[in-house]
Amino acid sequence: MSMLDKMLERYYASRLNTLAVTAACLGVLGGLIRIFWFTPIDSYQGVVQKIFYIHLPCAIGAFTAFFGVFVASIAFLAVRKDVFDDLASSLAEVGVACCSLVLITGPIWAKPAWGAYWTWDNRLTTTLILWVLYVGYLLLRHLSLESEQGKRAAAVLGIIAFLDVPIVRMSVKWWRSIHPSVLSGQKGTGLDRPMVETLWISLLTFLFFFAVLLVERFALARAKTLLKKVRMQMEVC
Amino acid sequence: MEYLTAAYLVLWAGLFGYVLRLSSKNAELLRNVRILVDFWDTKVSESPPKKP
Amino acid sequence: MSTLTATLALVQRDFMVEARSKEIFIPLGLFCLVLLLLFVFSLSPLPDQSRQLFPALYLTLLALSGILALEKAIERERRDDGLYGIVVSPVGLSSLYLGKTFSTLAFLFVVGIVSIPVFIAFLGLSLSWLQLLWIVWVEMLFLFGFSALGTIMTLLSWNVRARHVLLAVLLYPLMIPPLLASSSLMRQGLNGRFEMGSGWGSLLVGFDLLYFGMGLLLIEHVLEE
Repeated sequence: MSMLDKMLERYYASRLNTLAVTAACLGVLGGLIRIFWFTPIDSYQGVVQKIFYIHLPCAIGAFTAFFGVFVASIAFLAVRKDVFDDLASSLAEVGVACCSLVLITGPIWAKPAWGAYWTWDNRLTTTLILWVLYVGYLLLRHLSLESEQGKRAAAVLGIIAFLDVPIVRMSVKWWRSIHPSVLSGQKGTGLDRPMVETLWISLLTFLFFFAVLLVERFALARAKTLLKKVRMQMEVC
Repeated sequence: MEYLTAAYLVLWAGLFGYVLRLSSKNAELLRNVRILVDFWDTKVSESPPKKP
Repeated sequence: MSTLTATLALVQRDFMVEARSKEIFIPLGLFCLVLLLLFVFSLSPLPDQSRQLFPALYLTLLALSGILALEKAIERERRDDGLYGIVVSPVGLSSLYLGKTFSTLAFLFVVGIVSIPVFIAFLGLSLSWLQLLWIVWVEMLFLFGFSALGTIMTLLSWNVRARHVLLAVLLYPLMIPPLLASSSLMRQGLNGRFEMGSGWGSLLVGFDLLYFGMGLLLIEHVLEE
């Protein structure tokens, strides 16, 4: 039994999970209340700009999660412990969820701000490609029926997909610089002090919420793996 | 606009209640799995295999 | 047996099988032709547009038919447990990867070269010899990356249900950077600029080297047992 398992057990045994979930939920709720009622409205974009406080934390959460998949995949290939495989799959799921939120909130914001739901801008295109890649990653996991070979395949894909990110970014950037875009996607940077504070609060609360979700997902994955192990031992006997 | 925002917040609250419920279910599941694994490790695997 | 001789033997074996069965060349060439007809009819480009369209069309068709080649090569191994035979033989896994990559590259390269005249005829292009050479060179770089990545992806999805769809879903997003790079390079060549030193050239070569290296490094984790 690994150290992570022991920590998980203690986490649930001491009812820390209820506390963490409650704290995360109240935190995000408080953050939302602050966003909607106690933050000045952007003078150029109006109310729409408030989606930014949700959009950015999701984007940061997604990229962090995908980086985590990369690290966990390397660890899995090096040590071949199931813990890392479970960690990678949980991270990928949370990452895809965040990335989907980014892709949903982005167009909602882009329509009033830029005049179009979608532009083939550097960041947008990179995020879309990433989303497709990691949905493919989850699909590979799902379709390989949790075989040992499937786990290794997923780890290899987790490494390759993340290494692709800088190349995709670079290529999409140059591609756009060759085809000048009609809409220049410049984001308003003139944030007021209360706006910056709100951004930080919302960043922290959202990331905490995602972390709590990750722990839940990871606990489920561990339970599944442990059960499977016992079942295999039973079949041997 | 105010109503819309309030409805949005209520939606979030509902989602949070759901997550809380999931978490307590998760805790229960993990507890049961732990009991099963411990039982298997201490009782079954250490007792000598029965002769057919 | 050294890695090089083993690789050459594997490539030779693939060519021999192909020479007898002709499972890849003829279907692939026909597929390319049919797709070209579809595109030309649906886009119906004007003469000056077709010159701009050519690189994207050509490379997309190669990528589309390339997946068929990858599929077919693996299908053949699956049918008679050929892959298992290679894995248990003294041939190293890296030679297996090299052999598969280079034979796929060779097949696709030939298909690509053969289809250039068809493209020229259908799209009504006029190209200088230098431009033709440039197209072939860029095509080779593109296909090298495609085969290097495609081989490892095919082996990844080897034992998976619905692997045909999965291969396309996994491979094409990863192929976007080299596709952008090589179509830009080709377009520059058609406009009379032949330089590899630009950002696109180094991006394409960097992509090729990165995925070739990754493939060599990770193949032992993909194929085990």
